[in-house]
Amino acid sequence: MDESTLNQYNDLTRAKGMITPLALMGIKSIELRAKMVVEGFLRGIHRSPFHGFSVEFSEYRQYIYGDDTRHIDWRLFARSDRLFIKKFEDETNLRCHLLVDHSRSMGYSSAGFSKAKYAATLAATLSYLLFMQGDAVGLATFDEKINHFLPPRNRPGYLHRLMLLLDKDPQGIGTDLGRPLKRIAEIITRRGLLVLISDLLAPIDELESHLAYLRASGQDLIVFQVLDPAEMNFSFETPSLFRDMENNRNFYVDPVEAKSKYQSRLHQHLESIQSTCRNLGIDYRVMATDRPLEFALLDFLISRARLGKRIKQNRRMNIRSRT
Amino acid sequence: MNFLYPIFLIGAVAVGVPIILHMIRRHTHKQQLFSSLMFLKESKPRYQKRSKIEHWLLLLLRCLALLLLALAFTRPFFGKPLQTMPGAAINRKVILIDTSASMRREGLWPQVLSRVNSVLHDVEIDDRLCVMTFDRQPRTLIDFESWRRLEPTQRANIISDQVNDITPTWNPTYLDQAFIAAIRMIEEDEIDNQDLSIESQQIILISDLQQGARLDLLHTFQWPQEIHLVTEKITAESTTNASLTLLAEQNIYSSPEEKTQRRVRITNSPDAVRERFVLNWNSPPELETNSMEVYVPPGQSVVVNIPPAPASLQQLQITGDDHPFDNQHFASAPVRHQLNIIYLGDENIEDPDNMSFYLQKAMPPTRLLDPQVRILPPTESLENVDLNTVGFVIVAEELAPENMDILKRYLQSGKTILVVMKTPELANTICALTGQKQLAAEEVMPDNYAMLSELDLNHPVLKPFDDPRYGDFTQIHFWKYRRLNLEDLPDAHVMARFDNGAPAWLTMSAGAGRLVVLTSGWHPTDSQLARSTKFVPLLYSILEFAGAVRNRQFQYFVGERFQLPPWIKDESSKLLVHRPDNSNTTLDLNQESYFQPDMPGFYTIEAAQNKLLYAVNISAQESQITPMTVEELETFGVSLQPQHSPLPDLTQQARREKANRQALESQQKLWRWILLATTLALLLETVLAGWLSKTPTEAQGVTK
Repeated sequence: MDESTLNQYNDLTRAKGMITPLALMGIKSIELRAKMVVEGFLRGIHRSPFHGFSVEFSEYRQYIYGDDTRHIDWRLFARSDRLFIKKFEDETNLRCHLLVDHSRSMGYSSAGFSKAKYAATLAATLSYLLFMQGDAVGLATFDEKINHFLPPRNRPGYLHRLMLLLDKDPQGIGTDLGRPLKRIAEIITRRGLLVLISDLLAPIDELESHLAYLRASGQDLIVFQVLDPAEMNFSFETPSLFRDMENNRNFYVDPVEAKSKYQSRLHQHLESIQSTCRNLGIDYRVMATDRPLEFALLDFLISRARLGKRIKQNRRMNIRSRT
Repeated sequence: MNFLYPIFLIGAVAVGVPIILHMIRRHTHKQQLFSSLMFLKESKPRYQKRSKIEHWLLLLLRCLALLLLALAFTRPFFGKPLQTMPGAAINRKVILIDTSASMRREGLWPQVLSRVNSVLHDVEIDDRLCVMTFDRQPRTLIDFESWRRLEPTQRANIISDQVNDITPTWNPTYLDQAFIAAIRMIEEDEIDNQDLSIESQQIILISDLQQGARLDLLHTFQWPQEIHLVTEKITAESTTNASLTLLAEQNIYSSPEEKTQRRVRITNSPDAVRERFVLNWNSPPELETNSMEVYVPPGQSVVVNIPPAPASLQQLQITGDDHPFDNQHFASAPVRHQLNIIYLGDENIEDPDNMSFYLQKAMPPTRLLDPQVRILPPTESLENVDLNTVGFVIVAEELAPENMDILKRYLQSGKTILVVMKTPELANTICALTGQKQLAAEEVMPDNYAMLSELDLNHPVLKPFDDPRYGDFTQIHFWKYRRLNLEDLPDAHVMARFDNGAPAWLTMSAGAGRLVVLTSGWHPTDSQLARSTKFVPLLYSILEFAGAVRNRQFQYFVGERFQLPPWIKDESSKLLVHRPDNSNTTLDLNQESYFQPDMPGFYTIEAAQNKLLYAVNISAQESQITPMTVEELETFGVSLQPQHSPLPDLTQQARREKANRQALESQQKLWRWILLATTLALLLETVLAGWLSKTPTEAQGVTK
């Protein structure tokens, strides 16, 4: 996030009084949580300088004989003397896949709610927003494999079904990013938006290749890495027998002694992910669970705005080249 | 607070365990769930030693729970004395304190007081106690009920004070009677209090257990096995004791002119360390007496002759032994008694065919008796004779009528007349004397001779012959006799009959007096009686029966009751008694007809005209002070407890104390409350520990 943007948003939160994650997670219904975040966010955004953003984008193709003339963009024809067909509205709507990590490590919590709950709320918030805009939203949960998959739809009742799936507790064991991503790449054939929500606490050796493959298949990717503050700060004091939530491995750790090395390795891990994403043109955000979800929503929109600019630039370039 | 099982207090040491666990923790067992250990490496386990306690309240609660648990196991109770302990076993004890003369020895009585206090100290509050003293007779100092009614805290003091007021008497030791009386007391109390749970029944004998103690009655007594005897033997430091006994005159029938020496028996105790003693008469200084040295080996007795005492009151003493309580012997000089006998018969006393001849020969003057036989013809009037001085009258011929009334008056004074029927006519005299209207009598001359049979040897006259050695009268032949018709004498008692059933010797009452009738004379014409060995004893026996001759008791002992002569009551009913300690008492014969001295020495009993002198000594057996062994008592069937030693006493005391403590504890049951407190402490500890373990979870994450 740009620093100027964040500052502006901070001003907004101070002015409106943003709801904290702990308070938000106290709401039992995930649907209600998502609604509160989105509506609260949108109310604030109307007064903000960010109005005019839109997630919609259109696609043009050159008129071919036999196409329906009703779909010719006459205004473009007026400007450029070229016949371009404007695609149908539904075809131009966004198809978004939410890929949510349901591995055991997502069950860790130090602040009253788990990462999984935070991630589910985040996914629900995005779904709600996209549904409001008429976009199709699909969902896939995974641990070592794809556990559940809902294809993107935008019809009444689908959001609720999606919410129900999100509200399930993580049942998985370990985290394997490679296999689910590969499987998703196989499933998703049409272009769209893919939002990966995970703690990414797994080896990232194959992550780059799979992300590149998805990227190449025309998917726009946004990666939200959800981390607990305790995971980031390693704020333990008492020497304890630390047990891995995924594979139940345990050993004795003196936090005071291990803290610096832990943070160093974590930082290195995050750097690697960030570097990979940057190379692939993927938006990457680290979401601490004590961070208000509005920030995630903001990041999402900023990312979409940036994506929209890029499409417009591409379209202009295409038109110029054709003219 | 007391504890039933204080050994469990060791369990309180366990209170150190939580403290140590609080202070030293080996390594953590705390588990911390974490999302992924991929960025962590294992640390070396770090042992922690904490020098300060983190949770004081938790530690205190855990320590308190352990302490309370240990306390509950000790079964504590408050040691207040139980006033009533229903169902608790109690002891029934009789303390027998010997107060006989042997206890007067130096150093013995303080031991008795000390032993009594010791026994009283061991008596439990619920025990039933009876205190008795004994010497010649048992006496109850305090019985069971009186003991029970006493204030428990004052009992020992009261008994001790009462025993302090007692002093040993001069009486002999009748241990058998004391035992029987004590057992009776226990049995009576057992009957009266059958609901009591009795643990043991004891007779605690505090005595010197001298050999002289009498145990004869125990031969025929069945000692109850549930009653045990505990002996508290009192011992004297010195053991030499010589005792002396003035023996009876060797020949009381010797002539009055003969100077006989007195015989004294001196006995030395078996465990004596000395054997030389000095014997002498304790006489006034003006009378010179010689001392006599006597050597008596230990355990033996020696009889020595000592010249007679110069005075009438004779006090013999011996010196040289350790115990003076029996070193004096009191004796009164024998008094010669004059007996006036009137023989009414016209006989020549020198003629051996006459009865008077044998009568005179049978009654020579001796040192103690001076018989004066006076022969009077029956026709001679007795008006001039002072019959008050006549001890005995023998009628051998028919009396003159004027003498008949005189003799009747004589009989009315309670005297006795012997009628010897030389002729059948004497039956008239018997009728006159006894007031019978008629009495048939006839002369009988058996074909050969007659013999005596059917002798009533229980009659006082024939009592001396009540022995197989002396009871054979068959050697005496009777040539002739006078047959009396017994139907005319309904009150007559036949002492002996002839072999044909005719009465031979009779007694009958005549007014206030008595008649003794012999139906055959002792002279050779009638029978062989005068020449037989039975004659003199029979004559003296008749004299004794008539009261003419008194067998004067030679010695009197302390505690013995003896009858005073009947005539003294005629003089006065209240007698003044001078005691040996120079005090005077009054003896009322209307209430007591006997005299019982309570200390040795000379007693003088004064009547209106005469005075009686009695020399009283302590019993000779009382001088046998050598202690008997307890095992000797066992031969009489006495059930002994183990020898009274500190160890069994302590064991018994400990057992009683334990039973008392258990009863107290079971009444109070404090352990229940302590267990309840322990449970509460553990509950509090659980709640507190749960709260404390929950608190860091919220700060640090999920903790298992």
